[in-house]
Amino acid sequence: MREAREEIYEVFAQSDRGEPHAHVGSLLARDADFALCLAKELFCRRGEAVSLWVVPRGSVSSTSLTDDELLGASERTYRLGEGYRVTVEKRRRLKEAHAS
Amino acid sequence: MTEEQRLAAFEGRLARGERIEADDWMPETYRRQCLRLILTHANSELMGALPEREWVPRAPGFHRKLAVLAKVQDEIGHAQLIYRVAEDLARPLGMSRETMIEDLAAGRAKFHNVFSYPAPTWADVGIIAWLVDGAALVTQGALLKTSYGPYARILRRICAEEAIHLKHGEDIVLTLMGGTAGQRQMLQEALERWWEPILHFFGPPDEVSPNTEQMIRWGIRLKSNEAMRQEFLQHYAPKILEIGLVPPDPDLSYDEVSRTWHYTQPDWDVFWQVVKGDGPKTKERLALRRLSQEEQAWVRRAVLGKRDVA
Repeated sequence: MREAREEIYEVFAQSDRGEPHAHVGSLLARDADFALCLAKELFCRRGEAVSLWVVPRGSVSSTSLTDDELLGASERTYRLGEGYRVTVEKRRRLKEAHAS
Repeated sequence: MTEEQRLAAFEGRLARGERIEADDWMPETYRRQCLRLILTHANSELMGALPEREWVPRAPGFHRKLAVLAKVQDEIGHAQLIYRVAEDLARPLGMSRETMIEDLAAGRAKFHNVFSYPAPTWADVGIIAWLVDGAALVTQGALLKTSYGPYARILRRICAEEAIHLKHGEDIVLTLMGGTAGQRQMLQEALERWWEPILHFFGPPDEVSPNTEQMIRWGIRLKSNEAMRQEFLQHYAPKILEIGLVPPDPDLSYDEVSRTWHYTQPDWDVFWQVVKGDGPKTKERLALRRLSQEEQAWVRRAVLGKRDVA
């Protein structure tokens, strides 16, 4: 038997059917089977999840802390609903004009 | 970026209430201070399982036995989660989980004072689960807003489980208090044994070390030792008194004006002696820790597929 090395697995748990899997923590294990086994022990002693994913940390790619596209360096209110609050006032004016 | 610019950016993030993540740049002092706090917590979970474990075979009744067993399992589970967070912090300092576990077993690492005391009766188990876990919940609850993100996240899970231990402990205490005169006496004696270690647990009141000041400034810790001790007394002293238990301190009283509890200062020399490794049970528990490690080494070897060398 070859000696295995432990590696870090990130653990994602689904709290209920239909909910997204969310990151809950990480653990050390020699392979994915052990990682799942340990994840049950560490994160689900009280039935907190209906499904678990384990992912080797090395397989996760992530953005940088200063990612401009994420941090919203550009103006984007035109994508958001709050830009249209004026509709209440516009409707009121049109309603009044129509009634008179 | 120069070091000063990095530090300014880092402190700017803290000032905006941002959490720091494992892979973010952080000053080495921040890393070391977080690590020290987190390691003490991890070691304490592991050491806390030991006095508890002594009571699994002796717990009265099947339900109590299962509840104590579950508590032991929780403490070990918490230790695993916290060591994992500690490892990520410690990697740039060249420290692995093996080193952490070895340091603890060798008596080189710090853990909370309360795990150096004996739990001679079932009433001690109740007092520990209610009041020691209650004290721990005050300190851990204060850390839920710590600036180090990975620690804050696992603390949410840990605090939820500690709250369950506390309920079990309160139930043990209330059951004994509603029992025979002998059971009430046993409980009163357990409270007397644990009162001073619990007051010690929060640490000395006059902590004005620059270290603590910086930890609070960086949001690693949020409350002072005395503030947490007062929070504990505020919550638990009335609950202790109203069921007829008597804390072993004739001067314990609530001051309506300052809205604080007056209490007799415990002997702080005893505290320092205990945390420096010379508590009544420190050596015995560390020996038990080493024994568990040796007895279970074969499991680790089997899991890692290592061959036993004959």
